Amino acid sequence: MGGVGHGTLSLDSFSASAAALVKRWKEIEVDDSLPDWAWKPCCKTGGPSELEGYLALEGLYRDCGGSQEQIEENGNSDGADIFACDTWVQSSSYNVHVYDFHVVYSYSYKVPVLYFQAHRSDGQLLTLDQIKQDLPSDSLKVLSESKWTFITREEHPYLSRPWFTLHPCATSDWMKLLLEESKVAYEEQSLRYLPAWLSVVGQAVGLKIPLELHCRS
Amino acid sequence: MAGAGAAGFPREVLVEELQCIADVGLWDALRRLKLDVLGTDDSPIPITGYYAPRLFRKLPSFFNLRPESLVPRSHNSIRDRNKCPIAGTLMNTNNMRGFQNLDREQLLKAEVKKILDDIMSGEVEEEPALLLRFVVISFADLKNWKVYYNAAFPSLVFNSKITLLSLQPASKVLTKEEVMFLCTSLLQWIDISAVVPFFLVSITSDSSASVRQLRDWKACKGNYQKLLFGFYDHGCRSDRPGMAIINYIAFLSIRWKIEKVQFFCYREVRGRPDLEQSLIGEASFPPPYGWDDPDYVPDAIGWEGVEPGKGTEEMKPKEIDLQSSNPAIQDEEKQLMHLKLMGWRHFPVDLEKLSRVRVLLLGAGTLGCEVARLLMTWGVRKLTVVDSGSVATPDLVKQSLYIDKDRGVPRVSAIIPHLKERCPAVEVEGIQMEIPVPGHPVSPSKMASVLDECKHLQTLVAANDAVFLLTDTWESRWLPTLLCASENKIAITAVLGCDSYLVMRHGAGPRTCGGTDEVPAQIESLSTEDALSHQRLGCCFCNDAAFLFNSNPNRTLPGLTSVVSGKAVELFARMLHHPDEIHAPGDIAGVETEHQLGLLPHELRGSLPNCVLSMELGISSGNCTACSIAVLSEYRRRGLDFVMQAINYPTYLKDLTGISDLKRPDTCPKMLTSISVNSDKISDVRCLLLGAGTLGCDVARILMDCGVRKLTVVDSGRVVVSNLARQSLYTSDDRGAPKATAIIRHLVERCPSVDAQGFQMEIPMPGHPVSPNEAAGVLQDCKRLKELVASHDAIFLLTDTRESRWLPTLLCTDENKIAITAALGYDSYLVMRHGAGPGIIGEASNVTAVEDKLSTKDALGRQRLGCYFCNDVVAPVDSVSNRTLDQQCTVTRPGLASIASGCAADLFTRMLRHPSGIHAPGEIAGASSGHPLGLLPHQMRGSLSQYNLLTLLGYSSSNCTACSNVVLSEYRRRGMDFVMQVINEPTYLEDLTGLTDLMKSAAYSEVEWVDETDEEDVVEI
Repeated sequence: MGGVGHGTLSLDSFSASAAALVKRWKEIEVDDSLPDWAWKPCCKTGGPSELEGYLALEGLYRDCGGSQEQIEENGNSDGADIFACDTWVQSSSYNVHVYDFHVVYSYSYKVPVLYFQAHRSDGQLLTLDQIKQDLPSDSLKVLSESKWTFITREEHPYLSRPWFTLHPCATSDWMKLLLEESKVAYEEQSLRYLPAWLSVVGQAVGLKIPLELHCRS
Repeated sequence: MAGAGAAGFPREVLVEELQCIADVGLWDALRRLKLDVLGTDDSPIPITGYYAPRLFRKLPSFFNLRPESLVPRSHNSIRDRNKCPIAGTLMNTNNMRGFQNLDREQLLKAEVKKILDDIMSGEVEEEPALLLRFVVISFADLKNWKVYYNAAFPSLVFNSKITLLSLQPASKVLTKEEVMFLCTSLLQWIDISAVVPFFLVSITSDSSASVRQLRDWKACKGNYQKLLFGFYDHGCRSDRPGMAIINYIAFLSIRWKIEKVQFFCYREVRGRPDLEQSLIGEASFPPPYGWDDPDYVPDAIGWEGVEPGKGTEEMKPKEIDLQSSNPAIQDEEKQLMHLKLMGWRHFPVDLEKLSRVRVLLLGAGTLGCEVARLLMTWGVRKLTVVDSGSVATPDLVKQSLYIDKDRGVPRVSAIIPHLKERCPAVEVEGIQMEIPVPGHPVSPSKMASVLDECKHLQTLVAANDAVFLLTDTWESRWLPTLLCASENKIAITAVLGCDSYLVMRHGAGPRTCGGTDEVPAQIESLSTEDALSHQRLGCCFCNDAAFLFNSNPNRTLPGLTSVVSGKAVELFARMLHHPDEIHAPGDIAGVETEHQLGLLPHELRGSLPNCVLSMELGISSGNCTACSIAVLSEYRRRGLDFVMQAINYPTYLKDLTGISDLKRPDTCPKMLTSISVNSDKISDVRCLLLGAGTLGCDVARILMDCGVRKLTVVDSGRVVVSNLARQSLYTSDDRGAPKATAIIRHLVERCPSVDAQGFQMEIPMPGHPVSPNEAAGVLQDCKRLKELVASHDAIFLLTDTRESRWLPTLLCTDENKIAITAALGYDSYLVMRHGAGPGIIGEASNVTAVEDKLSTKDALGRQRLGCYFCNDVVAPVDSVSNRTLDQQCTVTRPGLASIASGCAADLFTRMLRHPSGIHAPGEIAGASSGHPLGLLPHQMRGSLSQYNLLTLLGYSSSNCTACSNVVLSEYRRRGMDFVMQVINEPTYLEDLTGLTDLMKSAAYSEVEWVDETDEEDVVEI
C-alpha cells in the first residue's frame, strides 16, 4: 500500500479506488451525456478473480456535427401503394462517434493506464487524427503542450486488440505532486488516487470529470 | 414543411427510426467464424443484437451489435437492462455478387412474416422481444479484410391507418403521486424481471402503479384506472415514439383485437426512469384487413438507410475496413489465408503443427532456396539452414532467392534476409558448416574441427523435427541420414540428375526390442521394424540412387529444380498430415487412399524429357551403409568414434555392411552431352509473359536460367502481402508496387544482362462487358496486346482466369506464334503448347479471298494442334464473380506452381530446339522419340495427390472459340471490332463457331474430351 506517497498505487488500492469511483459517480451530478463507470472483472488466465479487471466507461456518444434532420413528411397518402410510407418517417440520421474508455492497472508502472478507442456508428474505428478532430480545443492544447500525453497504439491487455493508450511513464511523477498538493490524509490518498488521476488524463481526451468526484461523499 | 402537421391531434403516427451501431469486434469475429468454421457454408446464422431505451437526453439509443453477438445466446449471461438481447438473422454471402444479388425486399418480407406468425401464435406474449427481430446481410471479404453490410429492422406495414390521438411527456399526463409510484415500481421491476423491452403499466385509482409482464394483460384488463402499454423507446424526440411501437401495435391489434391503446414510451436518464421525457400517448387503429389468412405476407419496411417509399436498389452497403488492427499479425494471417481456405473444400491444414515444426535444411543452393520458400508457403515458420558455400555469379539465375549484391556472401547469411522479406514471421537460423563426409580422411590438424562439425550436426538433427537433404554431393548425405535414422526424424532427400530426379522420404528408425531397462542390451536388440511394427522404409543409401547424382549442377535442366522442390515439399506436408507421420507406409500409384492429401509414396522418380513419373517402394536394406541395423547399432555403441572412423577409413563402412562400394561413379546419362546448347539462339528469342504472379515469377526465372535474355511481362496487379511467399520474386519492399514493374527489377537483380520490360495492363476478356466510356481504353489495350504478340516470338499464358487467355490465344494463332499455357487447379496442373496457325490454301494473291482460303492444316501441311479453348463447349465468360473466396485463384497446393512452371519452361526449350518448332507434332509418353531432347508432347496434365502425369494430344477443333478458322477469318476480316463484340457478348462466339447449334443437337455429347474437368478453371496468377 505504501506506493501512494511516490505517486504509485498497489493493485489492491487500485481496485478499492475503482470501486469507490464507480459508487461515487452514481451519486453525483454528471453531464447528461456521460455513461456510468463500471468495473469489468476479467482475467487473462482462467476464471475471473476479484482483483483482476478494469474500469470501463463505454458507449460515450460524441455527436460530431453533421447530424441532419431529414424529416420527410409523406402527406400525400392518396395512393394505396404508399402504405409503405405513411406510418414512417426516417426521422434523423445521427452522425455519432462512440468512445470507450478503459482504465487498466499497469503492473510494471504501478499506476492506472488509460486505454481508449472510438468508432463510427457503422463500426469503422477512428484514427487518432479523427479522434483529435472530435476533441475540444483545450484538450488539444494539453495534448500538444504536455510531455506526459504521449499517445501510442498498443494491445489492450485484456481484449488483445490494439487500442490507443496514454503512455504511463510519467504518471507517478505528476501524481506524486498532485497528491502532495491536495494535502489529504495519507490513508485517504489511495481512494482519492483515481479521481485525481482521472481529472488530469480526462482533460487530454476530452472526458469531462465533474469536480464533485473529488469531494468527500 | 417539416413538423407542420405534427402539432395537432389526431394525426398519423410518425416514428423515429432505429439506427444500428456495430462494434468492429463483431466484424472481426465474423471474419474468423467464416474463415475457420463456416467455410463455403452461407446459410443464415443466428445473431444477437442489443436494444436499449434512450439513455441520454440529446441522443437516441442505438441498436448494438457487439463481438458477442455471434456467440450463441446463453441465458446466464449478465443481465443488463440496457442490453436487451434481440434475436436476429445474419446472412453472410460468399462473394460480392451474391451480396449484391440478395433480394432485400424478399428478405424483409420473410422476417416480417416470422414476426406476424409469432404474433398469431401467441409466441410474442411469452417473448415480446421477438417483435424486434432484425436482419443483417453481409459479405466478409476475407482476402481484403473488408466487410460490407446492411441491417434492417423490419416493421409490419399496417394496412389500416394508425392515428395518434395524443402524445405528451409522462410527467404531464400523470399526477405527481402517480409519477412517484411509477418511478418506484419501474425501478423495482427493472431490477427483478428479465430484460424485456415490452411491458404493462397499471395504475389504480389511488395512484399506485405497478409494472407487469405483457402476458398478464387478460388478468389486468378492466381492473385499473389506467392501463398503459409500455415499451423501451430508443428515441429522443418529444413529438414521436420510437419505431418499436409499430410492431407493438400490430401485435395488440392482431393478437388481442385492441383498437385503441394508451402507450408509454419508456426512456431513461442515468439509470433512472426519465418521466419528464418519457411519453404517454394514445393511438387508435382499426383492425388491418386480410391478415388472418395464414399465407398473408404483409408489406414491410425497415432497411437502414433506405428512404421510405424508395426501393432498395440504391441501397449502399456500409463498408468496414478491418485493416487497422495489428499489422504484423494481420500480414501473417494474410500469408496463411490460402492454407486456411484449402480447408473449405479440400482438407483442413494443420497450421498449428506446421508453424511449430522445426525444419533443418542441409544445403542453401538451388534446391535449398526453393524448398525454404515453399516451406514458408506451407506455413512452416522455424527453419535452420546449413551450408558451407558462398553465392557466386552463376548461382543468381539458378538459386531463386539470391540477387546481385549477395555475390561473395556466405549463402547462410544471404538467405536469411531474403526469407524474412517474404515472410517476416519466419524464424531462420543460418549455420555455416561443412558436412563431414565418409571415406575422406582428415588430417590430424583438422580432426578436432571435423569432430566439432559432427557434434554440431548431431545437436541440430536432435533439435529439429524434419531434415531436408539438399546438398550437392552424394557423400555429404551419409551422416545426416545416419543421424535421422538413429533419432527417428523425418528426412527428405531430393536428388537432381541432369534431366531426371528422385524425391524420397527416409524410413523411420528401428524399434528397440524388449524393455529399455537394460541400457547396454539395447544395442543388440534393434528391430528390423519401426515403432509401429511396420517394415522400415529405406533411405537414399539403401538403393542405387547415387547413379542419378549429377556432380555438376550447372548441367541440370533449368526447371528441374522447381519441379523437384515442389514435390519434396509436398511430400513433407503430406507426411506431416498423415496420422502415422514418419511411420506411414509407402503408397504406390493407383491405390486408393483414404488420406485427404492424396497418396504418400516412399520414392518418386521422374524424368523431364521423357515426361514420366513413377512411384517406388523400397524397404530398408540390411546392408545399407547409413540406416541398416549393423550401422545404427555401431553408431549407438560408439557414437562419434564410429563416425570418425567411417570418415577416415574409406573401406570401413563397406566392411561393416558387406556392401560393395559406397562411392559410385557420378555418371550422367549421356543423352545431354549430345545436345548442343545453343544459347546464342535462345538469348535472341523474345518471350512475352502474360501474368506476373506465382507462375509468372517462376517461369520468368527459369527462362533466364535457360538463357532467355529478352523478356516482356504484362500484368495489371500490384504486389500484396499474401503474394510474397508464393510469388517467388517479390519482397516486402514491393508491397503496393505494380507487379509489372517489380518483376523487372528483380529479374535484372539476378541477371543484369537481361533485356526486360514490363507493362501494367489489363488483358481484355470476353464476358466482362465494357461501358461506352471504357471502350476506348479497352480497345487501346487490345491493340497494344496485338502489337506485343506480333513483336515477340513466344507467348506464355499465365494469367489467373480462363477468359483472359482468349484474346492472346486468338492473336497467337493469327500471328502463328508459339503459345504456352500453364494453368493450375487446386491439385492439378495443365501445361500445353498451342498449335500453329492455319496455312493458306493456294496463293494469297487475292487479299479479299484470304478468309475463304484458311487451310485446316498448318503451314507444313500437318494437322493443327489444339489450343487451350479447343475442348470447350461454351465461350469463355466471366468466371470470377460467382466464385467463393477459396475458388479465387490462391487456393492451390503450394509447390504446384513451381512444378507447372518448370514443365512449361522445359516444354518451351524443347519446342525451340525441335527442327519443326511450332509445327512439331504432339508426342505421347511411351512412344519413342527420335529427338535427342526427349519427348515433345502437346499437353501435360499432372495431379499432385495422385502423383500422375499424362501426356495428351488434341487437334484444333473446328468449333473452337479461339483458334478455329471461322473465328480467325472473322477476326481477320473485322479486326478489333470483332474482338470488342466478343468482349461484350461472348454468346456471339458460340453462334459464330456453331457451338450453339452443337449444344442444341444431340451431337453435343460426342464432342471430344467433354469429360474434361473444370479443374484448371481455377488458375493462379
